[in-house]
Amino acid sequence: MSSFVLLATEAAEGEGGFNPFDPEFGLVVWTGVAFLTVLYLLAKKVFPKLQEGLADRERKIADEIKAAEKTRAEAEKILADYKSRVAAAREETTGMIEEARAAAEKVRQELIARAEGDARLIVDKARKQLSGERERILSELEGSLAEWSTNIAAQIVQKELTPDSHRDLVEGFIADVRKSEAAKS
Amino acid sequence: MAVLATEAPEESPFTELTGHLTPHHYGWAPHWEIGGIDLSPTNAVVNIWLAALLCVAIFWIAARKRALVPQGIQNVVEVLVDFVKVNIVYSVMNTKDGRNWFPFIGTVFFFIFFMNAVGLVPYIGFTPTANIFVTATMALMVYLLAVAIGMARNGPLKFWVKTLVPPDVPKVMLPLMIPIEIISQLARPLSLAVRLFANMLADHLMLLVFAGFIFLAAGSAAIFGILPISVAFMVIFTAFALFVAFIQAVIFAFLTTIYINDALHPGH
Repeated sequence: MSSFVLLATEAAEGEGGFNPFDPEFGLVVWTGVAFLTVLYLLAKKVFPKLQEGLADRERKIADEIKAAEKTRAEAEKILADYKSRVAAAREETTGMIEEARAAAEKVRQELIARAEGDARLIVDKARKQLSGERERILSELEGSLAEWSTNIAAQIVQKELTPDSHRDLVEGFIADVRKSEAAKS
Repeated sequence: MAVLATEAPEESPFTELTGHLTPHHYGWAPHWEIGGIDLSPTNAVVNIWLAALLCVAIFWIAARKRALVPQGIQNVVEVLVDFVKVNIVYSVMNTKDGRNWFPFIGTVFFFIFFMNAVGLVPYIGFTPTANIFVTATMALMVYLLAVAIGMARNGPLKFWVKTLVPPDVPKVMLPLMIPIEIISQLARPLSLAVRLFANMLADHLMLLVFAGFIFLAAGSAAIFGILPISVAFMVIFTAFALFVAFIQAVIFAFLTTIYINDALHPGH
């Protein structure tokens, strides 16, 4: 490859074509003038604007970051406030529920107590009624039983018992029955 | 290949092609000469001004846009400006010097980059920096400016003493060191000019060589093999040339920054 490059260069030089060192002083002048012009325009007009633009952006970004941080802090504050309010509300609600529960429990207990009292009264009343009825039945039974037993006994022993001695026997029997009933209750 | 090479001197297409690397006058352009210097608008001159115009126009347009989120040309220019600032200027200079000298170094970078790249524009393109007189002018301007500010800031004697006498060198070594430092100083503009010129010339010579192959093979059966290969290599080397244009501008601007920084703080 390099031999071709040399060949090309030599061939060109041989025919007076290409010589990179041919004096070109005009290029010196034009390069200098062009460079100084570009330097003036870039250094005086363009770079300061570019730098200013970059600085502006830097400032804008910094401001926006600051504003975003402020907004975030505010949002965090609002969130904390909201959370504390929610917590307070929750606490209040829990308290209210507990209170309601306690009140309901109290009412329930009262109702139960009242119902139990009423039930007890009803039972006592029933018991008293039953007891009265029993007394009445027993006394009725007493009379009937004495009579029935006398009749039965008269039939059994015929003439061995007088009505009075028979009555005594029956009353003694009833007294025994009462005693055994009292012992049972 | 050997056959092609030996036949070359007679009707070499390279003669025609390498002519594209030599500044030439346009038939329609006026002929200006001042003090024996030809100032006619040759293709080289036109391309220098085209590079200058592109450089200023692109930055002008970018600077006028003030979008918070840069897009398009504004984005490209801001990225390049940031690149020059961070990777070239502030990597060598302190913040204060960097702020003062960025406009100059930035201009050097962008002007050279556009002069390097303008040669890649088809048909009208001519690479001004493939001419040693253009690169030498740039190199001398940079070096002389560095020397001038060094002398202005430190005083001529102090500047040259600090520049030519390395610190902490035994006195017995000075007769050896001072000539080395003088050569080093002289080599600065020379290397700056030759590096840029040689790279840009070689870059375009490569493209012309591949183009030359096509002309050499024209009319023979070899054209069917050479044409696609040459075109492929030209495409690859054109992309590579753009990369070289950028890298050479970076190197030139970086060395400019070093020379100016050395002039501002000699002996450091």
